[in-house]
Amino acid sequence: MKNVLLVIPPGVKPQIGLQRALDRASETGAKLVALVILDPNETVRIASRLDSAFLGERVGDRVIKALEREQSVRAEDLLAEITADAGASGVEIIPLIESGDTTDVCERVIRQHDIGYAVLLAERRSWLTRLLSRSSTVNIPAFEGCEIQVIEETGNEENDPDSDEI
Amino acid sequence: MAANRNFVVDTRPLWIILLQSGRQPALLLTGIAIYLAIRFLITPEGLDPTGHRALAVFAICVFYWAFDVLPLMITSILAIVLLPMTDVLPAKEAYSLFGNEAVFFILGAFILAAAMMKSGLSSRLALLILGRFGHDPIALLRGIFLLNATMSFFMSEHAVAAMTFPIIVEIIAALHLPPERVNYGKSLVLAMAWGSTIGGVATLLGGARAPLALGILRELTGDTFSFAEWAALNIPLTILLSCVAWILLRTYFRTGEMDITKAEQAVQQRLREIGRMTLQERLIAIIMFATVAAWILLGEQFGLAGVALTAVVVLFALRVVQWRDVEGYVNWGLILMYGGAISLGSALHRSGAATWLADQTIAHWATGPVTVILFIAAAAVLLTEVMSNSAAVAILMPLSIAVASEFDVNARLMAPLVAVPAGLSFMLPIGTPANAMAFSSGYLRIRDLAIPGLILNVAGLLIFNLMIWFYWPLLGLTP
Repeated sequence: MKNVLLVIPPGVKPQIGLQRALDRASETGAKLVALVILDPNETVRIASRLDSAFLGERVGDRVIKALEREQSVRAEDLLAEITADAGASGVEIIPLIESGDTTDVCERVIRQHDIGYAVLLAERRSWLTRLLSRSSTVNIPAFEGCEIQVIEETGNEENDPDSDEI
Repeated sequence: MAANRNFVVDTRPLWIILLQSGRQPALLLTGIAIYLAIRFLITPEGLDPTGHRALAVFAICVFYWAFDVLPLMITSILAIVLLPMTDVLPAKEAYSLFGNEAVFFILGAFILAAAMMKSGLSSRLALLILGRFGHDPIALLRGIFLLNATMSFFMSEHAVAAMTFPIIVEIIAALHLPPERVNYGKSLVLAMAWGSTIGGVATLLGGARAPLALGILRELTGDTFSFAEWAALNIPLTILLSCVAWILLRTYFRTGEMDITKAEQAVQQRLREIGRMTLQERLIAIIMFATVAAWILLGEQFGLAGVALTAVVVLFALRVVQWRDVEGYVNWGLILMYGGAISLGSALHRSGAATWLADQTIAHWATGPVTVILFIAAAAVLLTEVMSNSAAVAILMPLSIAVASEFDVNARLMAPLVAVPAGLSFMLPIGTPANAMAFSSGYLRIRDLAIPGLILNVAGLLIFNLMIWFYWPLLGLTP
């Protein structure tokens, strides 16, 4: 029996995608692998901003360490919530936090955990966010026997009635 | 799904994706093309050949600064290389401008800030203030805002934000605030960013842009401001803008009742960890206090750089700081950036390119002193949102001084007129490192920065203009 993967980028609170993944895992009796991928580029961007403020390496290191700690605490909190939801649905869960290139991490996890169905969450962003922010392109290689579904979720705009949809 | 196809998830508009894929080399070549195009055009009327060449150097530098094509300091080096090569300035003069007093003042101020950070004095002060005042959610928020604002009076606002950011992240982690639905997390990180940005315009220590503006002013007109004069001009603006920012924080990001006991415990725990104040911290505190007093009382007599560098010598003489500590906390690119910017400003001024360019731009659109002042301040605010505030000052100062003489505006006014609004960046993550840090915390969406940031920018511009016309004349600085 193949397992179900839920890939969660930072800042995205899964709802529809989580439900979809839980339903699938529950139907097939599979395990749910919940994967939060931390973005190492975020820390690189901050370091480059501090460079332009002429602050030394040690200052940048402190900020980056704090940022990494914060990202990891948030990921742990999120996975704890998902674990509780999965428990309530009677689904066995494998929570994972990884840092690195989304493509590489997904490839590895799909192989290691024998994934048959993957739900990939993409952040739903307002027109203003899309205009002003940068985001990275994510290339997920397709795998024989692994169905991939992309679901748009809100980021921090959860429960925000006037958020713009794509 | 076919086995060999890639699944691409990118919600950006296509034109942005296409633009970004070949951005860097394309921008590098565009800058060179702009330089060559200006350089080999027929010299415009009213501009002599030297001015024409200076204009081409200025154009490529502005382009590279604006689009971050090269690191800021490398663009400055490019200016220093091109100015003698194109016969705009003799090599001896171009390189000698690295020795400008403003550059050494900035250097001294950064080394003092490095000593405060290295010894842990700055973190201790921050924790003491938060521990003393942060007993309820509003008091904690106010504490973070005021802490960042007041510390930015004494050290670079960027250093203050970098120093307080880990503490704030720790507080948020202790509170276990989920990023979504909770405005308190947003308020805390914005209090850090806005506090340091607003406090950073109050004195000459808040950022390097004010000393840079003074360096260019002195180089081009021989005039300057004392430490006390600058603070007296700008502290009321800081106070008023802080009030606006506080109202905005409380109304735009409404927060309900919340138990912050865990945050208090985290602060107390950190205070226990750092232990009692060391002799090194005490000495640095005394030296810092004495240096600020000397800047106020003796700055005009001995020069701001003289006082700053004396303090640095004392730090080393008392062995409270070591050279390798300083190296870790100060990025030496700052000397190149500011030396290059002053050289470029001087070249534009001497060659007449600044006057010509001011005629074609600001003077062309402005109708009198009121519009000149409004236009320059607005241009500084806009530029600083999209590029380094030092680059914004380097671009605007020579033009502003040229336009001042055209419209019979006091040239001395141009230093605060450019440097202060160039510090007011609230809207975008790229505006300042403090905004970038706040945004990277994951609590903010772009519009949490952009909309209240726009309100703060407009309020800042309005209050700043009121200061120029109604408050600064009381201190003898008339437009």
